[in-house]
Amino acid sequence: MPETTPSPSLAELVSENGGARGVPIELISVSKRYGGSPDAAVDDLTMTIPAGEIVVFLGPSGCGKTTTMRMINRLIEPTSGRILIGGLDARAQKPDELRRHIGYVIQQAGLFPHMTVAANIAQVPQMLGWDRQRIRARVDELLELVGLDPVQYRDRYPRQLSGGQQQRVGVARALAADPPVLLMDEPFGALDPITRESLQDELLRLQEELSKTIVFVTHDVDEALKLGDRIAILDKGSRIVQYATAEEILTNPAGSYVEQFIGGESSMRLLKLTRVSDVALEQAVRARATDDAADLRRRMAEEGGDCAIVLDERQRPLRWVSAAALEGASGPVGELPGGEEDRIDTVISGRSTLQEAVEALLNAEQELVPVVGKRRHYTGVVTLATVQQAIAEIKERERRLRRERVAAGQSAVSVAAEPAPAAVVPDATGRDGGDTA
Amino acid sequence: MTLWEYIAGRSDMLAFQALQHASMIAQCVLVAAVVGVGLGVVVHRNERVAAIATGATSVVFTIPSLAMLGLLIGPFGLGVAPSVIAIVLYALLPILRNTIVGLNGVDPALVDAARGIGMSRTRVLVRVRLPLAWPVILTGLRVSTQLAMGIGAIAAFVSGPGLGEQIFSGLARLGAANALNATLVGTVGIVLLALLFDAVFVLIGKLTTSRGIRTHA
Ligand SMILES: Nc1ncnc2c1ncn2[C@@H]1O[C@H](COP(=O)(O)OP(=O)(O)OP(=O)(O)O)[C@@H](O)[C@H]1O
Ligand SMILES: [Mg+2]
Repeated sequence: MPETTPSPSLAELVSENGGARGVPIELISVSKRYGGSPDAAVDDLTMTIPAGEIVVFLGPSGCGKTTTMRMINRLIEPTSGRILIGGLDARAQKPDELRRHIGYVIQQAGLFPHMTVAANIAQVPQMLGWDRQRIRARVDELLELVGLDPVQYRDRYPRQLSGGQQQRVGVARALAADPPVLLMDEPFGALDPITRESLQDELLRLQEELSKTIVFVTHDVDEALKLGDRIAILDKGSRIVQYATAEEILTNPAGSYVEQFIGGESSMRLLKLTRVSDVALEQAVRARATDDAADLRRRMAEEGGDCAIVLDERQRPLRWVSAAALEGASGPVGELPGGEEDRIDTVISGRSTLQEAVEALLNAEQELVPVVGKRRHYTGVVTLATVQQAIAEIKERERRLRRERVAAGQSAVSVAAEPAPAAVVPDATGRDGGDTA
Repeated sequence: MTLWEYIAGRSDMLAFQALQHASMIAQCVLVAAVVGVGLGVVVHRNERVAAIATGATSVVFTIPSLAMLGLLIGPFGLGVAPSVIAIVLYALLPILRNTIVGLNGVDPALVDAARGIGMSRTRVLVRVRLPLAWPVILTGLRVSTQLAMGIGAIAAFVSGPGLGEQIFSGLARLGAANALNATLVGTVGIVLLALLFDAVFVLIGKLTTSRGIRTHA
């Protein structure tokens, strides 16, 4: 069509969208050549970042991660190619306005030292012309969101905060106008390991609530595996070597480059990645303290297992009872003499990783550890066999997926895998036709 | 005549000269500040122009002030005009240089963060660069003011206003009655004025520098 309708802006998209949810980002044959350099910093990159997912760019120094990310909010202009954010061409929008709707978090937070925490967070809302009261309320809301008490922190200056707290404020600032997209360039790179872990957990918690589209740059494999719904492993020129889920990368690395990057230990890393709630738990025989010992012994003989777990009236684990202890005993189970080996001193939650489960198993007196849910409510037990089984199943599942992909005529490794439904782009039809050839 | 008698005898005139001196310096520094900061803001992003600007003012700096004043008599005659021009020219250098250094000294990561959250270039300048460069610019202003004080004294050479007249007339009649008193009164007066101005700058610095970047707090 010859007439040009005024192109919609990301701002309008955001308000239609009710603010919060993420939108997909499409990079189409994007290249960046810096003046004076013969090699392209980003060389013909095509990828889709699905709405509401965390996509991690993982690659060696100088491979073009930052350049790629900064082209999304137009801090760097691509030499060629197109970038669509929520289906809208980034180039059609005023850079400053575009950036106000794309959160931006950098290493060491980049807080303005001469402004209070509140003023730092208020910058984007001010530019968007919000009134004072709304800004004030939003600042407090965001501080709560990132786990800082507004009363205590809003009037502080950045230098009065720890590195971790500064980065929390950095995230709050980026979220101020509720942007659909968040760009994070090694945001936790300068923090100590413990603070980094807790901020990663925090980010995952936030993301559960917010469902932004997050592009996250890092060098750290563990960080990538932990945070990324998908991980793009990049080589020089931002060439995608593998673009896949953490499980897939671990079980089916696309060649030696990726293997070298994840550095072996892929099963150990799978343990760290998988939550206890994701695996099939075993069940021990359940007993109440008031149950008769002889009855319990009979039940254990029927159901198998030489260990029963005694629960209180709210289904919370109290102790173990072994079949041996029940031998010849009578009366309520709760009154049986309990030894060291019957005490339950470790329970794990469904949110624990399998790695934590293994750690608990190695330290426990028994060969099994109870898993509890909300309010220490007993849900099952894990054993080393459970863990082994779970890892085997993940590997098997990934193998099956790979076979299906091969059968469907796709590359065995998921290079530049197009995510299925999220990436609906209005004018991508012609391109799709060309790609399948 | 003792020093006290000398001062008491012409307190009106001395007060007037001190006031004149202070007012001349204040106005000259104000003009230099506006021009220097303005010029610094305009040229700081262009490395070459910034280098030329600081270079040119450095050249001005190498000209002895007495010679400069002498040179200015030609086009501007005697009195206020050449004095003011010379003082402004000299005061410009530290202000311009500190403005450029201050603005460019702002952490590039902060400028990147500011651009990244959608600030326009102008907004980055006003909201980030200038406030962060302000302590450095203020130091430039202080140095300029001290410099202007001294040159203001020498301005009496071209019949400029202020306390310099005491010094010059004193020096011209050295050995005669009151010559030493005049020189002394002029010199001490200027030193006191300089201290006063500096105190004012300390106060301005306290009032206008964000608590977040004050070095002592
Ligand atoms: N402004 C620039 N001018 C010229 N070359 C640049 C510029 N910025 C980056 N480059 C080059 O482009 C390439 C990619 O740089 P980029 O910063 O994107 O890498 P990166 O993957 O983010 O690295 P790191 O992990 O070290 O941050 C590098 O070779 C770098 O030298
Ligand atoms: Mg980088």
